[in-house]
Amino acid sequence: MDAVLRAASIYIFLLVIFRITGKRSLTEMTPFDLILLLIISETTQQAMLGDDFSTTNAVLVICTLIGFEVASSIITFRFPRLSPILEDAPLILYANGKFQKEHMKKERITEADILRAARTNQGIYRLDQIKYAILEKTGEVSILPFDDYL
Amino acid sequence: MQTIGDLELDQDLDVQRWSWRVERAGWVIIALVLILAMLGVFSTGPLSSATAGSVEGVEIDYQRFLRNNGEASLDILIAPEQIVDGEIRLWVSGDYLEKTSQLVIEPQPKETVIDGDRQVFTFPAEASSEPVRIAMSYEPETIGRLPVRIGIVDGPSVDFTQFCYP
Repeated sequence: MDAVLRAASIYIFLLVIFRITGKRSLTEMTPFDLILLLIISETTQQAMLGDDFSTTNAVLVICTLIGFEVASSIITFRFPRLSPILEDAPLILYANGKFQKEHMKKERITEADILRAARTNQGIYRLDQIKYAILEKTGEVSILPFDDYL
Repeated sequence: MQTIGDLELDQDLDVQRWSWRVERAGWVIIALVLILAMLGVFSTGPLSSATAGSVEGVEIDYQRFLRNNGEASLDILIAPEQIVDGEIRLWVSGDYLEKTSQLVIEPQPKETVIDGDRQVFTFPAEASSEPVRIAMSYEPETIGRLPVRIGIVDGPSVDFTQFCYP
């Protein structure tokens, strides 16, 4: 019982904490983010396993985590309205020559971030080549160029 | 799916605004948790440190807040008047012993006697004019209230409750 409760509470806590850090959280991994992620997983591991290093405990913890993961994907599939709440939703940052300033401010994304995404993903180097820039729910910025620049 | 210009996108600004609000509230909660933690609400810190008992009998420094399976300690100060016939006989209640493990007492008692629902630890001690210090360290094995009762046999006793986080 302990193992399941521990894993479930950690799963829910991590879901909430990563949800409130916003879309940008850990998708654009700098070396520092990678280290942070490793420290977080190390800390989580100890709380989740307790001092029980048995195979049974490991099996129970893994089953709980995978079970929650599957359940959450079933929930978001069956009830699409819950998807933006549990998993977030895409957001337009730039459309037809206009920045959506409010969106960019709330998500802490600068014009330079959009241009960098354009350079690295599409080989685009000017704003007027971009038709749409969209912040995906996974945290990366999709750049959709005007047809002439494809 | 929504069409914005010629773009098909499941952007939902109402939900998005709600989610930004929740996000901001979450940051405030994180900040509050950090402040409370610094103050000692989650064990060790100014709000957690407490003292029970009296200098004339038994005085115990303890933490109000503990964590399940974490490390905890008690600092017990015993007034010199409580040394009787060259020994101190300290008792600890059974319900406390039941909810803790890894009890280590420093200095080590000469003997431990089970007396009903409590245990009596006997320490040889020279007569002195200064209070005597005994340290106990232990790991709580409970969630919620942890009542502690410690006293001197046929003498004063101290009663307090600690709270144990999961």
